[in-house]
Amino acid sequence: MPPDDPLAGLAMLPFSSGDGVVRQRSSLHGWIQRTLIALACLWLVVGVLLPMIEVLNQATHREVPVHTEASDGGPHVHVQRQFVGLANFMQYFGLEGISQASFVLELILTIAATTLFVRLLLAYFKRRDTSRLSHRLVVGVLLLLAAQALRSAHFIASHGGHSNLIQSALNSLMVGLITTTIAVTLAFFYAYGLTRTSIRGKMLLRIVALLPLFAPTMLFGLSLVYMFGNKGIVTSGFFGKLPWLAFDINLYGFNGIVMAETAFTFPPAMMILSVALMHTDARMYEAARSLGAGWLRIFFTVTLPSVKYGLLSAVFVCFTLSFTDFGAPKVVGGRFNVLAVDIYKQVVGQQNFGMGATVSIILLAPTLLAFAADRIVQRRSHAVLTARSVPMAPEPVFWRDLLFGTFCWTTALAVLAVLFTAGLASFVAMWPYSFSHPEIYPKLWTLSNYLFANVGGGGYNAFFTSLRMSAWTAVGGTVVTFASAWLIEKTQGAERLRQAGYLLSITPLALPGLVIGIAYVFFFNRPGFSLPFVSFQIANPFVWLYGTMAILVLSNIIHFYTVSFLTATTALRQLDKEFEVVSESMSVPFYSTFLRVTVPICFPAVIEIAAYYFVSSMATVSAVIFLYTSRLPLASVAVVNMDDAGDTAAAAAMCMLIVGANIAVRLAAEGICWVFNRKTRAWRK
Amino acid sequence: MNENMASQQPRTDGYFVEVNGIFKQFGTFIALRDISMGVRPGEFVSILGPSGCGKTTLLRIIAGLEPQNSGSVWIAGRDVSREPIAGRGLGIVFQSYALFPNLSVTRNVQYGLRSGSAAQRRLRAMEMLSLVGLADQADKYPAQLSGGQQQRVALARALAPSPSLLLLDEPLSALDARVRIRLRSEIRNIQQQLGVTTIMVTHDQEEALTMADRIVVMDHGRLMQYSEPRHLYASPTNPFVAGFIGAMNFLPDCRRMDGQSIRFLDYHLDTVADLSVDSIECMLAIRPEHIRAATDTADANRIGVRVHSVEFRGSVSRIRMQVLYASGALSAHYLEMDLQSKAVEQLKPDIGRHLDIHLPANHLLAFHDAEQERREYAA
Repeated sequence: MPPDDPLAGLAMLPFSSGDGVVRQRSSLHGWIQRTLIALACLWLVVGVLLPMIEVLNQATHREVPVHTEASDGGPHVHVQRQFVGLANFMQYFGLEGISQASFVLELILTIAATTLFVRLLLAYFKRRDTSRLSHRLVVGVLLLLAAQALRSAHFIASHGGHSNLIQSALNSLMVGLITTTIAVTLAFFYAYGLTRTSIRGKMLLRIVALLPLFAPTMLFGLSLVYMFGNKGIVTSGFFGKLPWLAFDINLYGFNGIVMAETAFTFPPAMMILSVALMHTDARMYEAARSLGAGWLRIFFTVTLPSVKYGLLSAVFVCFTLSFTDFGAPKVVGGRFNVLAVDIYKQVVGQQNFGMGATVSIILLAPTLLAFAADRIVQRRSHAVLTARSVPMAPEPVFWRDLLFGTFCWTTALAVLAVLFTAGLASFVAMWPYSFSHPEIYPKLWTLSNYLFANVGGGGYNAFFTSLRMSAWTAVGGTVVTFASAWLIEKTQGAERLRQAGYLLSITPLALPGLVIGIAYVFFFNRPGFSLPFVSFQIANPFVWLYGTMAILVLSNIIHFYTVSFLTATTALRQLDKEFEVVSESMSVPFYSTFLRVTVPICFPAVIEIAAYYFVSSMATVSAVIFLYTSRLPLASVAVVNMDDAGDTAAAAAMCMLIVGANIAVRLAAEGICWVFNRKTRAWRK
Repeated sequence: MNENMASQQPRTDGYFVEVNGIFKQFGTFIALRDISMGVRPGEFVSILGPSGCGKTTLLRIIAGLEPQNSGSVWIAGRDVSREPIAGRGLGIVFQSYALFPNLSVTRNVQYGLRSGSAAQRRLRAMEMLSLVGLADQADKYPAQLSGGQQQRVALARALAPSPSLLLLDEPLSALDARVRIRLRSEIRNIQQQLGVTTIMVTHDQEEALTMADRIVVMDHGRLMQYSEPRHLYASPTNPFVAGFIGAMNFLPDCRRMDGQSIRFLDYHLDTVADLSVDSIECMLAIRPEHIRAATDTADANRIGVRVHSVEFRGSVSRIRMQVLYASGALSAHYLEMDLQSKAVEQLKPDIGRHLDIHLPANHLLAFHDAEQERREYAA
């Protein structure tokens, strides 16, 4: 179709580069941006990927004594690292008298035959209108597959001996599943009450539900001990004063762990679900009601489908957290072993690093599965809510509000009890005897537990080191996270590099703190690496980090990276995507727009990220328990050690200090945001 | 007023912006096929087309926001194909305005100014703001302005660094109908005052017709026609442009007879259109306002119709009519005719009434048959 206006005499140009795109010349700023993206990827490689490879390395190698003839003729023994393949895993599962090759083969056969069997069966039931011959064929193949699956499974089982460790894997799984069921159910109805009913005190209920985020998980264990332990308030019938109320729930073990983990996983589940429930289009409910649907039908056809993705997310989060948690089982686990405590025992107790690494990988496997499943599910979750959606405004309904009000306030009281019973006990001179035998122990209230005299762990030194560590984590983490998120989200070009950066940024979510800790012990402790296939050694350039504040901060940033990264990404995605283009068209350098426009607009998100880093670093114990040194004692580690030594009241006191500091920081963050919002009201809509 | 304008050295061919054989592919989807166009200095060119026709992609390639697969872009006689956006010396206004919400209106306008003292920059910003008539809003924030005002701030910001080329990406489509109409002439005035070469992407034909010196019509990644608004309306070169700009009746399945005569159903119609087409299958087209009620029985190009419906549109009424064979039987074809209200009173086109209408030969356009055209596309 020739245009009306023939363009005679246009300059002809030799164009096209190799892959058929006219590439733009790179400007200096483009190069700086690409270098920064590469750096953002590189530090994640060092902080995540290399340590994880080191864990794999440790799990598949053993140190074997080798006997050689020394030069003087006497026997000489030296230790050599050897590749042992899956030997550690087989030992873990108690498999004996079976070669690795046949183990792997049979394992693959079992899984493959079972998968094929199920898929074929499903496909067969979907279209049954096949001819006679294929009928018999299908049945025959199904029988063969089933037989093979059974044979292989039996073969592996027949070689399996008894192993304590496999028991703890099953225990962990059980804790994860039961906790997830309870916590998600509670959280769903709590969030439903907050968003869909008109109960009183929603603000307070919300705050209470989020309080457990400020505490180390040991605190829930300690509180439960004070309530339901051997001399607990409930177990002893209020110190023998109400003996008919005495009730032993058999705390130590499964029950205690599940209760503590429920308290621990309730807040994140509640947050996810209340966001999901809040973001629902009221017009859908109006449409359903106008079509004559009852509340039950509406619940199953409108409410549940619209929060489906939030529900799944909550399930994955709860499972991952409770499956990998270390603090609560350490305090109330008793003889009920779970994987996380096993790792601790293998590494700290028995110095068996190979087995520690092996258990880490077994701990990691279900977490990675949950992570992958969540990613796949969430990819489909777009466009649930449109810009035109009308928010829900619940109307008061007496019975419903009464029901949910009772439920929410009971749950909130339970949360408060789990949080603050230990706090109360930390002010008691001699629990429980100050109550039960006041004639022998006349002094009831005291602050002496807050002196941390005659107890291990480091006392206030540990507390202040924790504060310093958290402050560094908050500052460093926020700068790195926000800048990385911006580089990945808002720059042009370097497509592959940015995708790699995104992938590396969401990986830490799948890594339990314990695994990060143990990986760092392995990686940052190694003097050097021998490159494969060539006998060439390079010294480890990061070894100086070991035993410093820097490695503690690094492990915390990595541990809490993904949540912060996603917060930053969400905030950045709300900005007009043309800001960068407009600035570039006016030749304004990218950093200038970043500092003058992006950061000021995203300031509340920045503060939110900083507060999250601080609070999480204060409360966490799992990663840092392998990395702290006696020069750098930490408050949360001190809690574990004091509890181990039987100084329960001091441990509770330390927990209260942590909670107090976290609440103070959170309030400060809210205050800053409040002032910011007031000052910038003019340009905010 | 605009110092850059003076230094623009028009090339011998007189084009300030040249787009040469642009080809763009997204995966397997071909967004632009061999697009070439030239924009004269100071000209206002509008790129018009339905959504998904590739018009925004073309603008983004001219801006340097999207790399083309082949072809080149020249601005001011310089090949800028490999130049990033910063090196192309252009101002750009987006549909979303992309104003920085945390900066005041003046600071937004000053954003791209980096030479000169703070006072000079402020002076320049105020100058631009009075140009768009917003000098009194200088200290407000974007959120405190109306949509139309925000759009004008975005324009002032893009123009402040004196770009040699202004790109507007659907600049008015986020605004109310009233504001949109007012801003059309305002933007056009400012553009003519500064004499800045401008390319605007729009899907609104009225916007393109009223604002642009010339219009590029695009469809499915192809340039369909490039010419002045009047010419585009009066002599579309293909059925797409004919149907896209304004209203148009199509009479398909026509056959070319000898001379200037064309057979439609069992009528013989005369046309003055250029019939140098090879095939004998063709298609006639005529705009509703050019159809008249036949007054004289001696009129050529008479067609019998039956009134199907009447749509009142204020000053005119649009009459939808079913074409009758000369024998009086109903055909499957419909025509639309615009009548002034006075003519409606005279004619009394009640539904079901049979009328004779006249298709003036000088307004009857002839095209290749649409079916055939589609087959050509596919090839």
